[in-house]
Amino acid sequence: MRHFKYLILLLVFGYSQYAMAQDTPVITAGFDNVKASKFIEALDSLTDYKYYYDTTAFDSIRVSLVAERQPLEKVLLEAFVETGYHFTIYNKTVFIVKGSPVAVALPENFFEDNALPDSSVPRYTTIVSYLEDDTKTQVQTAENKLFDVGTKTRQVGQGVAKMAGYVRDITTGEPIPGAAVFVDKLKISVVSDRFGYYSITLPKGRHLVNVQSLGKRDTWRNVMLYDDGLLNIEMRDHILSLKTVVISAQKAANINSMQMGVEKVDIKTIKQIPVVFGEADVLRVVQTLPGVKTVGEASTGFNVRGGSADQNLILFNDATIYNPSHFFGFFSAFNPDVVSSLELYKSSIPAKYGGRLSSVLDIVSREGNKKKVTGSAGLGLLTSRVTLEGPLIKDKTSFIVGGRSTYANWLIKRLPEQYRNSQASFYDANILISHNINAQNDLYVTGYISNDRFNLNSDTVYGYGNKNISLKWKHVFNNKMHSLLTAGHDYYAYKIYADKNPVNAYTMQFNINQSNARLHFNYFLNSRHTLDFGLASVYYQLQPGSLTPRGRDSFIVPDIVNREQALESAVYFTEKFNITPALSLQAGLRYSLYNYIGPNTVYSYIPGIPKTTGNITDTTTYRSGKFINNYHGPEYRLSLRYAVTADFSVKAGFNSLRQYIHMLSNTTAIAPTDIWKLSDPNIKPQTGNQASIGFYKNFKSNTIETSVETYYKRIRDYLDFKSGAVLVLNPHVETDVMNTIGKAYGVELMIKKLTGKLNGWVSYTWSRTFLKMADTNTGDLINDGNYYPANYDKPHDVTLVGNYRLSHRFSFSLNTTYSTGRPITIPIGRYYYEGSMRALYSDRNAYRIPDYFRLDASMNIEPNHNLKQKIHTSWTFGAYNMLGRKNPYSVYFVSENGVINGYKLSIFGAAILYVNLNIKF
Amino acid sequence: MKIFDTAYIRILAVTSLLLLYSQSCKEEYPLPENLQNKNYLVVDGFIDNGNDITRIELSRTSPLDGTAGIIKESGASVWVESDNGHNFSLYETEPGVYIGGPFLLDESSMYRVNITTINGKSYSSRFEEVKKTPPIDNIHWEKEEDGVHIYVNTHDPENKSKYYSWQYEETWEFFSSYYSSFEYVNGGMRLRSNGEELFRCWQSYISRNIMIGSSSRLSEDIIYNAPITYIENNSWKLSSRYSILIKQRVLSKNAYEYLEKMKKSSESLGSIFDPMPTTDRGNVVCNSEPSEMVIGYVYVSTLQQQRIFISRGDVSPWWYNFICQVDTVPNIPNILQQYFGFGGAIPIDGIGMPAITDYTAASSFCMDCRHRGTSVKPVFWP
Repeated sequence: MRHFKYLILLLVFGYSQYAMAQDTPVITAGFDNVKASKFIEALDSLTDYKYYYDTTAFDSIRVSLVAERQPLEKVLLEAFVETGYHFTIYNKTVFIVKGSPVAVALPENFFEDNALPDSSVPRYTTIVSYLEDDTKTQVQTAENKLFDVGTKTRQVGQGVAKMAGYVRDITTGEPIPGAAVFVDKLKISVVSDRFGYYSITLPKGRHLVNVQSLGKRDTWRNVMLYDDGLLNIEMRDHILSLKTVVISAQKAANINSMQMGVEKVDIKTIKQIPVVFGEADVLRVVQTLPGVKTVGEASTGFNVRGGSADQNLILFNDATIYNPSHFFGFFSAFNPDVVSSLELYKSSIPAKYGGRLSSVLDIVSREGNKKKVTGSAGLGLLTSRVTLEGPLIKDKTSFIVGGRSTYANWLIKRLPEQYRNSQASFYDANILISHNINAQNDLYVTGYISNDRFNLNSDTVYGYGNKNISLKWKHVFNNKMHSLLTAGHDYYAYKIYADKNPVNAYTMQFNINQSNARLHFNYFLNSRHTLDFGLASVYYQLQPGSLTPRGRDSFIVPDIVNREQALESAVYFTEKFNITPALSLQAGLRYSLYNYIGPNTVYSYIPGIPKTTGNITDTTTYRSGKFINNYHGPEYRLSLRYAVTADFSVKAGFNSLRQYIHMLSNTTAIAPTDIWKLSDPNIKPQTGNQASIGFYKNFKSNTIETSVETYYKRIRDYLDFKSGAVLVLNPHVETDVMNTIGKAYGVELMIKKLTGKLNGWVSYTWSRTFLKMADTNTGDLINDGNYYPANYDKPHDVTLVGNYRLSHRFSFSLNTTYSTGRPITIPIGRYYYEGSMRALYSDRNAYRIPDYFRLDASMNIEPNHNLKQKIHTSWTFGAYNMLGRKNPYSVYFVSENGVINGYKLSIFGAAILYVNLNIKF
Repeated sequence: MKIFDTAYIRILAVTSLLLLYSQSCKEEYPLPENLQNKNYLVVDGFIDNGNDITRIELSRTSPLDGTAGIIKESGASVWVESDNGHNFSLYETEPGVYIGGPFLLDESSMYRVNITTINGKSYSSRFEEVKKTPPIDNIHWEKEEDGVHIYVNTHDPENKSKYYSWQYEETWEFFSSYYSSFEYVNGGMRLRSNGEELFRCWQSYISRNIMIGSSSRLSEDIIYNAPITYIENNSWKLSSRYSILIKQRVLSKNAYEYLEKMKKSSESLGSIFDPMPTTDRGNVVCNSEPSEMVIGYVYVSTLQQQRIFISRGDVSPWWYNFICQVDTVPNIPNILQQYFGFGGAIPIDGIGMPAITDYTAASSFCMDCRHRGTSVKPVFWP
């Protein structure tokens, strides 16, 4: 079938060749202020050409000219110069239209790979567009047109020039971030930033520029680069292009890009993956990626390459989200209708990011439709969603607002009596306004709020929430340089209260306030050097915990742990250096400086022995604004790429990172009551180094991507907890924590097919993560000071995510995952104490729970593609844990009635069926 | 159509949530096998200052497989020592149980326990202050949605106690479904003389959990309605009359923290957010080998206790019913023999007195309460 389509294209190509070979007729005639239609009538009689023209206001044009043995083109040109009309001659047919000229042929070198990068003047084509205004930005969708970039000159100059512009969606005008813009021949590739902006340096001359983005139809532009200039590129949704020819010859972004250990998933893929209750879930999809582990189904927390859950920087439109989960960890707090894509950096973390050790998860929301108001609504088992988007000022300002809310609360009330006291509710809302001030300036305002409240058969109510706001201003100085100024405020808080017992009624609270600002510059020096640099600052304010009485009868003594504040600043610089077309280097340096700021009280301990309250030697109180202590250090971000062939490359990288804020949690899964702690004189920042190497090979015209990545990582000063540690309301947390060192290594294999009816990926990860209590001053050593596996050390992990599109409207999705059971600490014996047998524990994590295997499937029914229809509905039917396996979440041993019983706890004990309805309007 | 959709979704959601929380997600899991026996010493008990004896139980940790039972540590010499040099000996009354006292201790001194095991190793607990336990103010109970909840209230006007531990003993009176007036003895029916013995019984339960509470976060040393236990709705414990004895002790802060950790690692597991379980050392140290693991925290305290009674009438309505099938047995010797000769059934009463034509009867389990308890009346029962 595909061959047939090629054939058709080749025929068209042949005709255009023929047309080019034609001799144009010669005209001898004179016209004096005649109507344009009369002029065309005359030409019609003089030539054997057919003429088509747009009659609207056509006769407002008067033609005065004298032609003596002039070619037809020359005559037409003279007649319509400065009229706004374009003409096109094609196969003895003349089209005269207002606006853009009619495109009639594919570019000459459409099927040739030897698009000439030299400075030879392009050969003549049948498309004539002499009337173009070269100073205007070109907005074109045609791939079969030659674009002139820069001020057109008769001769193409020597040297290089810069081409820049925006990649946008053709229907909604939304920018497309992460689109690869590249010239295959030269192995020069750039990626559009989150505003869809790209800038590429090329030798002057003719190029075939390819543009690719996930979920979009591949496109390309024939460019005649004369000088620095702008070219905006619009892309279509892949879904609408089913009947067109898809040339997938250049899917080599994974081969050519500098980065390694980066996973990018767009919302379409996210929505295809079946999940529990059918709620498309960003973080669950992250957990299917190679190198990412989770401790269990009740946790949206994830562990990247042996890092702990608090070592992930989770950004939502540049705002830091401290607790990305709803419903105590069953769902992630991101509305799938607002999310556009996510990117997970596991290894090559760009120097502009810092502050966390393991990964950066960058979640980008969509920008609103700039052309018309649209919306969508979703109805799921547990949540409902509404999204509305549209222009505030057409083509300039757009908004998107989204909200989600659960109705689990009333559902719980319908449950049997024993659950009547349970409650759970959550909501989240987003807003994004983007405003295009002018060609040089864009402004973006993002707001995010999420809130959770629950109690489960107890009188203690838990509540937590995020609030974030950020403002971004993008300024393009010129084609070579642009800047991005970001400022924002992030807030996370939780609150626990209980008031059944009036004497003990309390409220406990914790919060983080974080103000951040970043100024980022991007400078394209030339085709071989690109510079990224900037500075960033985060000002933290923490309320580590407060306990206050609730109600008049409460005897609770208020206990408020001193507020903490700190400033984390960094300067960074990255250079991307294309040494040869095949070999490139990206070297980044980030220098971070951390100041722990008063007012606060700091304890000093006798050195060399365990830190306990009994060993406090001194208590120092610092006044407000005083720098109590400072930490600083360099972070290196290096990566190297060598493209062995066009479809095979090798990459290597080295990364070092520092983290100044620590999550304190002594539970396996992230609990909503976990608190964060800033580094202080007694708690050192965590540091980590990672070295990695990867091999990337594409097959079948780049439609199948394969990769092998391997890494070795070391972590220092990671905080682990002494047994029975008191973490909340503890003014001297250092007495309950200890420093550990960690090492992690692994291999990640991935085969990915992202196009075609059948798409998806298979990944296999083998990885190990070990921790060791290195600090001999901590008292009892865990596992005698030997390495022990971390909670999330799951050596084998296989994931298969697949989607098969049966027709335009029906598709099936499958998600299969297998992993080794996570390590747990099990009893090695028992003892009798206080009337009961009790389990005796010794070495940490010496045993594993049974292996995990799950199969999920779903069927999606898309709406029909009738554009005129007002409302489009889509349905998803699915089964989570289709095999009904009782996968273990934990295995535990508990003393009951005097004896020890062992239990296996599964979160989902059976298959869960779900149905989801989505309405687009 | 719309209505149908909503209803469908609702049903599905309810099912899913039920699955989410239903007990079927919890399955028994075998205890791990083949693990080394660490044989650590376990010291369970406290030094009692007052009218009660001091009881220290010594045992050893054992493998999990459960065949060994509790490995008692016999033949040790155990004594209480004060920080100004006074010694009080304990004597082994049964294997592993060492008893002494009652001791009246000097409240300004500190005390510890010394142990020399039969293998010659010596162990000592750290010196602990004498804690004076305030009396229990009252035992409060309340009938709530799911049953009768029992709470304890206490306070220390001197503001020194703060850390409390409780244990309880429940005893309840119950009756057989019917009073047996006859008995079948030696192939014949006769009037029963011990009818009361079969009809009225008692059962008891001793708490096996660690129950602790603290007022350390309060402005006054008050324990208000600390939950002790609850009686499920319509439980047989309140089919007639119920009694609970609550014992209260004050702990040192460290002893409290030790028990809190032990409770977390042995009783409070099974939630989604479990801490990692551990076994910690208490305040007993092996003198010759300080790194040796010893389990147990020996503190010095006094015991306070209080008992209350609750009657079925206090909590009415209480829908407890032990349903028994009553049969009618013709008064024919070989049928009586068939019916009562094997002890499976017990006669209730005769029909047609004085010329008895039939006997009513029910199963022995229904008729003889001693299957479910003891007919020996506890000394404290009124």
